Amino acid sequence: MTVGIRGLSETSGEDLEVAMKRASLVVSLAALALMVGGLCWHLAAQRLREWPGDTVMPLTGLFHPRTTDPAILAVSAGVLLLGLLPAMRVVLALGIYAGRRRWADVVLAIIVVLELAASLIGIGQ
Amino acid sequence: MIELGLFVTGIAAGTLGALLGLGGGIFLVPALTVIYHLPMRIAVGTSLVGVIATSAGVAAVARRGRGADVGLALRLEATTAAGAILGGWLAGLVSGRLLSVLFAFVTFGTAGYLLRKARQLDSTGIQDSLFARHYQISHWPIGLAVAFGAGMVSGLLGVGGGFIKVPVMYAVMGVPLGVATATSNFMVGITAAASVFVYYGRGDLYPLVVVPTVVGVFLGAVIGVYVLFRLRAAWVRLALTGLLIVIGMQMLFRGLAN
Repeated sequence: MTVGIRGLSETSGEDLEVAMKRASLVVSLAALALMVGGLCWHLAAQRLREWPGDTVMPLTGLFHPRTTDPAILAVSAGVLLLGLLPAMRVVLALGIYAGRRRWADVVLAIIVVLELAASLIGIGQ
Repeated sequence: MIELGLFVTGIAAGTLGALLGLGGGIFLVPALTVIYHLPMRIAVGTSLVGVIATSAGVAAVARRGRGADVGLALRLEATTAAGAILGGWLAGLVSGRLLSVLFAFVTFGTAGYLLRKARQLDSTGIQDSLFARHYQISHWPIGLAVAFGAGMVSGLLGVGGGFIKVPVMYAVMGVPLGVATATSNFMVGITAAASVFVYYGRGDLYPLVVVPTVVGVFLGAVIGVYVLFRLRAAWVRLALTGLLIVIGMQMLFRGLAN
């Protein structure tokens, strides 16, 4: 096993790069599709108010989809999905590091995940 | 029409953000407040989603060996977070103005170090490449100390310290400039994600503003990655040096102003 690239072995370095690229591409395209689709639906339904229009849906609204505007629901889901992507990438790295038994990196990834989790408390405030 | 303007603004911010490893928030917030007269809270919230889009765009199209150094990013990010916690705790005990002036000098020093490195490279005739598959990271203590300081400034003054990490990774730690910008974009995505939900929860994100801007930023980031592959390291270094001087002066004025 050749060691050298970015402090990782060739194999795990490539695993991580491929996994990051795939996750970023799939999640960001899904998020953008939801956002653009939702906005087009919103514009087509002519539900526009004065600039800058409606705000995104509160989190509580996301759990009651029948009572909420589906177009805004789609945009909100897209924003949340994109917002969660950095955390997903760190969790992905954590999984790959754990598989390779790189415990120092696992601990660092956990610290960063905890930092992000602490910020999520902000939603409820 | 405004939506088209936001889309174009997003493309410009995403391209510059991807090229310099800053995410693009530094360009988006002034544009949204000055050109589109949006309140600061909406501009910052939109810019945070934009920064995540830049980070995602860069990661989504990075070629093999040209993406972020995740191990390095996690080390710097964890240290920055520790600095931000200490900064938040020290707020009120330490003068923010003094720290602003000190950090301005760190910024000027880094700009000077970048210029010195450029002169050294010119005199030796060594070609500086943006990407390298094998590199040795050095001077960890300095890199981590600057990351900690950047976090502290962020916690005390509410200013993002990301602008200093790219030059430090490149000039001090020996990370190739292209890898440093990709790594920085990975980190700013995490930092932005830590705040974006607060803005979401407060209702500061408006679909009519967010969607065209973010789609533009994502497209701009993809363009930025392809432009970066074709740029010379010297040009990126020059742009970074200029930006550091501007930000340093801004921090100096902020610290000296009443």
